[in-house]
Amino acid sequence: MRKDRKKGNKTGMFVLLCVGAFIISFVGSAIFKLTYTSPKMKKYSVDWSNKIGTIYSDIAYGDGKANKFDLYVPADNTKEAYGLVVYIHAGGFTTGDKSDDKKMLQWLCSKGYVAAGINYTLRDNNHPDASVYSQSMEIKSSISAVKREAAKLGYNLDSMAISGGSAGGTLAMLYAYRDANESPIPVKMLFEAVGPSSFYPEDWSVYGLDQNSKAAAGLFGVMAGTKITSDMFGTKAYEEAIKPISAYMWVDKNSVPTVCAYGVYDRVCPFDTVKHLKKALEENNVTHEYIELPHSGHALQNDNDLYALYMEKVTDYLDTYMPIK
Amino acid sequence: MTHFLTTKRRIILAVVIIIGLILGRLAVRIFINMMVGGSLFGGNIL
Repeated sequence: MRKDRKKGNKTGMFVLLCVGAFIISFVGSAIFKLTYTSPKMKKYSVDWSNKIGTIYSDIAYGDGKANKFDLYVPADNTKEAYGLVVYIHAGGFTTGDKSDDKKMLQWLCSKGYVAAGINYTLRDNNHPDASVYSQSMEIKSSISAVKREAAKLGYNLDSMAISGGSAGGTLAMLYAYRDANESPIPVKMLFEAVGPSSFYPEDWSVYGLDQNSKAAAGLFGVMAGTKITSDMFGTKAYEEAIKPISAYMWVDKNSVPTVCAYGVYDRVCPFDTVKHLKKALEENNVTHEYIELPHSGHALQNDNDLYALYMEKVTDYLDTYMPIK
Repeated sequence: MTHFLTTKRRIILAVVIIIGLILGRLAVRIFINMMVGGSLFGGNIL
């Protein structure tokens, strides 16, 4: 009897041990997964110090409260001219801040570029009239102020790259493909990830817009900052109404070299939208690298090797089209 | 202690830990995939 009880106690203890081991390994594995950085990606961040450069924050470029940019200038200010790299933040056109991309901007500055993170008026309750179009026009208006402020600090900007992620990717593409001809600084290249560049209801099935043309007209109208009705889809009038925010429509044979990356499972920027951009780049023989991440969504989170490839291509393009003098 | 952790129990404990490690990783992947899209398997091992 006593022997049986002793055996039962031991079994109970072992079960408890197994439960404890399971919880510890489960939680530890989850924390590791959340915090893990691929060794291939570590070279794209720097330990920032004033030996690398200086950050000038919240410089105004317009009348709006959000019309501010941060400038990251390299410590070496002896060169005759510098390349500017603009990185525009993500956030679905409704949230986000230039400080979200601090690591990227610091890395770009450490390479010898003047880097700029630019805010734009987000669409929210306080700004119900803000649209992708108005945001793109704010970005367009900001570049001359960036050039002027950099010059004041002793950095003459003679070339630029524009870049961004998600919403920032869309705004970067609009500047590079639509506005580059009017840029106060010659645009040499673009890099972006997961930015929507086309707006056709059939491609936006993840939001159900393929089944609801009224909702599609509402959403795309808000994004374009103009009235769009459901009966316009498939007509020339729709193409004209949506063109100001459809980056792929502005791609031509003179478009700047481009590096872009998209996730096949993206539920935020639907992957079906990407085919138009891809086709436009190919048909116009634009020098480009299109990187498709076959297991990832909007965060490009499940294909570390391919994300590292994207960053390698960005570095190659920067070295080629924006060489440090 | 050796008597408590018999070979059979050690194997069971190792299997439980491995299952915990795999499920912990998968739980995070499932959660992030639900938010932004992504496949459950393939791609990253870590």
